[in-house]
Amino acid sequence: MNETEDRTKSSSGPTRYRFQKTASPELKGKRGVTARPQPRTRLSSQPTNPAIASDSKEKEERPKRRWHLSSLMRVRLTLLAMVLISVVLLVRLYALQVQQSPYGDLRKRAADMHMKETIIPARRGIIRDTNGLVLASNITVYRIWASPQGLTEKQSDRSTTGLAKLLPSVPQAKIKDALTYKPKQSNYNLIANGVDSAIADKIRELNLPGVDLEPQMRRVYPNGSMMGQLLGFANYENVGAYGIEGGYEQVLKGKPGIIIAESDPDGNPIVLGQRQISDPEDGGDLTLTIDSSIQLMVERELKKGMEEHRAEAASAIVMDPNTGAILAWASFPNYDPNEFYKTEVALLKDPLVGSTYEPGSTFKILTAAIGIDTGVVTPDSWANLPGCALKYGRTICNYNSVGYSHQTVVDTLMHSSNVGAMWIAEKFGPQKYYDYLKRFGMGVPTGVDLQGEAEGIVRWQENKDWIPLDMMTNSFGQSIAVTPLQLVTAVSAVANGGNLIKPYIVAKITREDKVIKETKPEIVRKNVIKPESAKTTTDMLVQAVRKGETRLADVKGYRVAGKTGTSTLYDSSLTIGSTIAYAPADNPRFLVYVRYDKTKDTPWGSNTAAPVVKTITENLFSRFNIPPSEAGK
Amino acid sequence: MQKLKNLRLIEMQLLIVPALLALVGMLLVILVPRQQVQWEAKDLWTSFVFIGLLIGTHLALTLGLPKADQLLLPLVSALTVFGLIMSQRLQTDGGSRDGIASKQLLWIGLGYLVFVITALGLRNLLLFKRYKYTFMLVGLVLTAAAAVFGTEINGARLWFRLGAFNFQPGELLKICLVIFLAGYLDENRLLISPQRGRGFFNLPPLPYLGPMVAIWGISMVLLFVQKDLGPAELFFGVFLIMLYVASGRASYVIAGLLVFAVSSVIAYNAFDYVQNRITAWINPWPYAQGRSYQIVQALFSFANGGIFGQGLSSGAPYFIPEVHTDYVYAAIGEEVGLAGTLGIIGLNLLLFYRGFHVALKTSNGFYQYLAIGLVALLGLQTFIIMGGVTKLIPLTGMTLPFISYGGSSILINFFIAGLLVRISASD
Repeated sequence: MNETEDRTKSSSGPTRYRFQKTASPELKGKRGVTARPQPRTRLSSQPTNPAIASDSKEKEERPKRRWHLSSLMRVRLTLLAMVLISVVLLVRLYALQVQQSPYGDLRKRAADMHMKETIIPARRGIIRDTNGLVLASNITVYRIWASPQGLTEKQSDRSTTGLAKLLPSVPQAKIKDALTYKPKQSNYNLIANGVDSAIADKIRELNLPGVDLEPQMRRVYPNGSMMGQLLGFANYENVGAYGIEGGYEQVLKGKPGIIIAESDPDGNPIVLGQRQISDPEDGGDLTLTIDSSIQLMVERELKKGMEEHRAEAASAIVMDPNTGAILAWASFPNYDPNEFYKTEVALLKDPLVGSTYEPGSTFKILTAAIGIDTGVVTPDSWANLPGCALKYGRTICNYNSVGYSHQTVVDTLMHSSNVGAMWIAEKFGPQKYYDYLKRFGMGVPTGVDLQGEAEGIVRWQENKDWIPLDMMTNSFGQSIAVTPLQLVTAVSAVANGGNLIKPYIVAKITREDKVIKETKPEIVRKNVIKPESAKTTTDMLVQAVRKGETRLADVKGYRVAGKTGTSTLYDSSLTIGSTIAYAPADNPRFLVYVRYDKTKDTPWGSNTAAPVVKTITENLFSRFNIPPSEAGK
Repeated sequence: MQKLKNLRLIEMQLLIVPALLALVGMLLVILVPRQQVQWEAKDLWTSFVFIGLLIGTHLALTLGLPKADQLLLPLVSALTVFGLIMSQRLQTDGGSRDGIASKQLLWIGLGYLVFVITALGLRNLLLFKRYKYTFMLVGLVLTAAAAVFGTEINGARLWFRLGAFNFQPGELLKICLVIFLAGYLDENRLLISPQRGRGFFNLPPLPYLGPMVAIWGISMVLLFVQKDLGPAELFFGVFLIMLYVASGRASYVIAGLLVFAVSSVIAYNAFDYVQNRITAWINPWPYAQGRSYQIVQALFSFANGGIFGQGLSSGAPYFIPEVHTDYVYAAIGEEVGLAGTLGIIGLNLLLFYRGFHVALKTSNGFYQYLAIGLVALLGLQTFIIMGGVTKLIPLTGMTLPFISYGGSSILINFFIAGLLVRISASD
């Protein structure tokens, strides 16, 4: 039917389409005269057109004809342009939809962006002391989120004022901004972090539109600053830092569960979407070797001494010298891990493993032990020694510059004689000396399970900058830097009969009351010195406590082995005084180390640290029910 | 024979396609979220209303304009039914799009009404030509008024709030511009046609080209002030196409494109949001969660579509903000795939072809220019938004004719279709 129509049309003229060019003059003439032009049928219009054309100007016949044709061509060209644009679009769509070529794997990108990972936090492991007292645990706090899409102005205002009242620490403008939908951006804004569950409950009660609460774990330390540096803390992201929290991060953190689900733009999982779920695995619980009752006692006594001597810092270790289990571990000033964010960064470091110092005369224990073990001296070997001696161009004196005639090795320890220590050292010589220091674990970390252990500084004989004077000063604990724990383990080797043990602080790791790992005492190096040498040295140290400079650490009726030490700080006239002792000397149950930094009333460790060691030792005797070995004495 | 001729059988047959599409598409869109094959007839009420509209319009044309073009109505209806199905599909994702399907149906109904009134009622289109200046003035005043007194939505003042609806005079201005240009070009054809001179830049006497350029310039200024560059691009394109078809001078087109390039550079430097769109166009990935979120999600939608699409209601086009208006093409790309996107390009091309056919068939110069201008308007708008959402060109906010959700757009496009049908029957 259409065809017939077309045929009639095409037969009526030479070209199928007729552009009627000269309609305008006709209309112009009529303009304003008649509102309605003559309705024309097709039959009538075709004859009139050429008539008008020929009427108007005969000369324009040629240009008109050319225009006529090219006008048709121009419309066709426009249509062709549209087809070409369509082809370009087609190519583009093919690339996007089928080849996915322009931007790598678009589908994968889309899936990644549309899959929302919801993390179910794992419970961080609980830390307990050896008696089961909780030292670190978790509470639930909340994150407050805004998802403003679809909120009306009124709802958004209601939520803003509601939240602003309950969260005074968050500026109202920030809440308002978070609750204002920005059309072309992602619809999930954080308002506040770590909100207490009490406030969170109130927020939940208000049932504010566009406000979501996300539970979060936060770490709490019920005992406040007790063992602050030892425990470390878990930061805002609940990641452990420093101390046990840092050192045992991998055990404590557990494995968070993940729900990967296809989500709508608001982040809500789509019911029929794909999802993968892995359950959270709680962190392992730690049981420490620390005994809180000992810890409290040590902290109390340490603090007392610190105040009495107006020390700037104090620290103490109580360790089982046979196993390396740490029973107490204290340092002042310390901090409350609950408020780690308020703490000066310098305080976060645990000075007992993290910083080194010159051990001073406590180091003579090793010099004596090496002397005995190498056989170059016996306790009774003697010499007439001056109060000061010139060694390699430097005059080195005893602390009181007093010399002794017929000075034995025992006397050297009793009087804490520097000249005597050098005398012993010269007998065994540098090669043996440094060999022994290595065996005692100097210059390498003890391997304790804490974060940030320093390795100490020893100028070995093979070092380029080593000079013979170094061994002289090393023999009484100077020009060498050790951590307190290094000294404690080295002396423990003397105390326990010659074995260098690895100190440890976590007794066992449990998960849901099942023991995952129990720490077994570990011997790093056996027979650092021979057992009999150790025993001989211990006997000498008992003498030193009984009669010597360390006598303030002596406990009547017990055999306590020990030694004090004092070292002058380079940058001031102040000192670090320390005392290390173990008891009962012949079968030691514990080793006590106490140190005071920059005491104001007296510089000597024999006056500051030794009495505290004594108090702690006495307390431990009764704590462990150890009877006096020498009644009446 | 004469009676049969008046029956418009081709149109009737072709209308079966959009009618079936309405039934099948709507059924899919309704059933897939339910996850069960159970429905009642009343679930498909929108489809039935739509089919009723088709029948009514077809009957009105059969009775009133039996000789009018028979392809235009089926083509327009096929595009419209896509819009209706997509609005039903996208409203199921809830939120701000609740209830858009019935609103869209209302607009489509009004659109068909406008279509019939335009086609049957506007007996004398030449009046348009006579009052071309008036039209232009009314269009400009309305647009200017919107820019001053209008309601601000998404940072641009383009709308009047009329009760529950937002009316966009810019849509009307497009038609006014085409009417004006058609009338003016037809009236002054001799003066701007090629035989006036041979040189490359042989301009016609200024007094004749002047008013046209001036009117066009004013509309450009308005659009710049309104901070909506999409319509400016569109106006410019329509202006160039009409000028080219009337004058046959490639030099006009080249000069026009140069001016366009200069104004683009100015716009780029003057407006932050233009810069944002350009940077989002050059490399959207760094801002995929921010200002490029929309275009990136649109690209994802196209990519997820593949050849045959995820299936209606099975994709996730709701990730694209404002998907039901400017980005509806991406939603179609995701759910109906390359088949759907190419199909829509095909339908549009047929529509444009038919529009030009109408232009070439008519013998009245004003009608020819009017038809060409209207087709150019539809065509450019279609290509600009398609190019924009596929990241072929920088995006400008614009509706996809007949498919995007939106009252002003639907009414104006049906008005255009009505004018074309009217012109096709004008001999």
